[in-house]
Amino acid sequence: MKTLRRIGLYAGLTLAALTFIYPFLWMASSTFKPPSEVGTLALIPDQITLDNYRTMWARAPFGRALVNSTLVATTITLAVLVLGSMTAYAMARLQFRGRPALNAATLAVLLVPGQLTLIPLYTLIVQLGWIDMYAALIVPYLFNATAILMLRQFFLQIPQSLIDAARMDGMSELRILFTIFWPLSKPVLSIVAIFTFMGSWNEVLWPLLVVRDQQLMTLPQLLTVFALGGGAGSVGVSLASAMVLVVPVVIAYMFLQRNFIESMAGAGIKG
Amino acid sequence: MRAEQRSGSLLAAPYTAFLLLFAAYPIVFALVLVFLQWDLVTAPSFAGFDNVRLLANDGRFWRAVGNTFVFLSIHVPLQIVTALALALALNRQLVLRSFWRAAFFLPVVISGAVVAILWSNLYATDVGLINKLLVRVGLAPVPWLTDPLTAMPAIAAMVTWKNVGFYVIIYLAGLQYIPRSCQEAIEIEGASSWQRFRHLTLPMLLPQTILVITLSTINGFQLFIEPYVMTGGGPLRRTYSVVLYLYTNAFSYQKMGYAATIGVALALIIGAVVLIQRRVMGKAEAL
Amino acid sequence: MRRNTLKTTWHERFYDFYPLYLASSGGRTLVVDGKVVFENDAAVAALEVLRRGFAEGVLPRSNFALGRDPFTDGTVAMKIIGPWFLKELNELRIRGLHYDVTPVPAADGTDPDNRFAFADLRSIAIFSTTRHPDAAARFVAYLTSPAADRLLIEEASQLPYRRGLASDPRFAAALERWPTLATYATYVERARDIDVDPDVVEIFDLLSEAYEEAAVYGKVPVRQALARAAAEARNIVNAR
Repeated sequence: MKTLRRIGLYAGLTLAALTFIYPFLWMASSTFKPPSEVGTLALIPDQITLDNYRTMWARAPFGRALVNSTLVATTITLAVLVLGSMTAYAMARLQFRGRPALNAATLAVLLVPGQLTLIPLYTLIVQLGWIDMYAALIVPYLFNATAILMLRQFFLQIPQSLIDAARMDGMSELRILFTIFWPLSKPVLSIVAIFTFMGSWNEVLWPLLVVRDQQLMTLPQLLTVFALGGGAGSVGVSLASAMVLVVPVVIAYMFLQRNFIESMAGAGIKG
Repeated sequence: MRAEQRSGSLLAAPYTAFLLLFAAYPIVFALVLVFLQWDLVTAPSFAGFDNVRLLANDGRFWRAVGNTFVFLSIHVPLQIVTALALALALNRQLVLRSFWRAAFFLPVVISGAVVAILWSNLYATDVGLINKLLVRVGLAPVPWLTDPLTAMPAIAAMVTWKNVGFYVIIYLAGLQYIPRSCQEAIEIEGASSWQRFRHLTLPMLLPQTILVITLSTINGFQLFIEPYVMTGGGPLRRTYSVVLYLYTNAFSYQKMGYAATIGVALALIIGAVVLIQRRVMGKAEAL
Repeated sequence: MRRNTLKTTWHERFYDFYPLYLASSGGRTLVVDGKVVFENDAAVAALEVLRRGFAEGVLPRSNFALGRDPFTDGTVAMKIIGPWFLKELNELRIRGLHYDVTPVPAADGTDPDNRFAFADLRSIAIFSTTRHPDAAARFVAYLTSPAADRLLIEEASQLPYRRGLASDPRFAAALERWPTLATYATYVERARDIDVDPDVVEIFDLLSEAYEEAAVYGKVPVRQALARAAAEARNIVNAR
């Protein structure tokens, strides 16, 4: 009996897993199908064609969008790690006036829903003259409250003795942070890096607000504009553009899925 | 320690400046915008309570709120049931356990825009995969996204699919904490699996369920990219979400003041709903 | 089962409701001097004819977005469209396609001389910050000269917004260039654009909602849908 239940369990799990993976497989295979075959159930097309990709690449600046997304996501991730660590270090290990207030403010920021500040942030960007500039995409994300709280939590646990010894050696606070704390913080740093990068890579509403110039659009944004504006003209082409966004993520995910899960689940619960 | 004070203040200064400019100022300005009319091109004009009055009488806003409740009434229970079922299935010694877990979590890491475009095509009435499968087994195709009755449920199902992996992880974490001693005791008493589930597992997972309800409710109120990409808010405005209405007011109608008013109202509604949920669930927890 | 792929974006009304409304409204538009004026019989008539079209299955329920034009491939017999389409039709040279042009139908009892058409007018503007005001002014004078207008007609099958165009001998030859363009020309003086009102897009959105519920889906009676659209439009306009 137990084996029957086991088989039933694995069958159920396989079916469930299929519903999660199959749509992506179908999407991938559709991008290689000619228009006559798109929409068929077959996973392997009768005629494999690269036309969808060629059309997509020619119709909208996807290469440029890939560069934009990479640039923006990488810059934001590095900034969040470096600037966030500096802030978290100060908040965890240095006594200064206003520290409790800063703590409370960070927690409060997490409580405010994004929709409240969306329009004022947009008008601020307009007034700063940053529309259609990288600054609009990057600067509002330089500091991340969730990241700072996570890093602060971790930094609180590092023994004071290490800091005292380093200070006696004459090290500056920044040196202590980057030469002592950072090597010890690899797990939390990688968690922060992943959820920050993924958040930025997938972000679409904010770029839709502050970027109009196609040359500056990020990948998910260009993909949305392309699919909605009818530029795709066919299912195969719009799915091909989606693949450009998804494939790097899936590849990274296949190798790092444990880190991804730990990171995004952890950040989601805290945030 | 003077030096520590100085270093601390210096290191924290950039963040303080950032908070003032990108957090404090927008929150304050949001509340100011409620009382202004501004199209971003001409100078803003004072509007008194006009925006608030308009919002109170705005049928479209309240229909959008209603749409969100329709969405939540399908999404939240579906989310709990599927996440819990998958978590229970995964909470045991399995071959390839991390593979299953990774499979369910995959849609979580994929961009919402991609998922929306993918499912637009899956739901397509004539060429979509789902209807093709239905026809294959002898059923009639359903106009998922163009029938006013099925559009929002279709989106709710899709969002559940996208996020379930995240909630599976939450439930799995909760399942780890159910003490072995309790499980063994109840097995010794001869309880069936269903009784075990109902009287031990489910109550012990209440904190996680509360978290699932809260997070997916907040998520539901923030629905934007899915209706934007898949239905444009139709058919018959049944999938028009509040954030979509906010976006339209700001960028199609150029009404920054009114859009900000919608934003403030939405924040208040989310806060109220979450508070009520907590109150109700707090009572359940006390039981 | 109703199969619909219609997306009711506000500017789609330029091809169904708005021309039908203008044909019967005697030139009255949607909002004039900050007052909502579209709750009238002409609007009811326009929505009603659309409702009947969908109910009787003679109006297409698709946007035909993927590159196909249902008129040119013979799926539909009639289409509400502007004169610029003539050039396209001519270039496509579809075998077996014979076409003619008729004014947009109006409600029973409309005076034929009082029928209006929708024209998506384009303007010319000179920026006050220009460094070459004289050259700009001379260029604009050229663009609005009879010679340039003849070019516009002949090269683009578009019409200049010129009084008396249909009977003006200077343009008779140019109008002959495209079949049926002369019929379009008779409506130039009786053309209306969309209102220059800050909320006109939102009002078109409200009308699209009424169109969807009363005409496409037939869920709400025409007068009721129109009344609701007008009430919400008044709310918006009065809140200014």
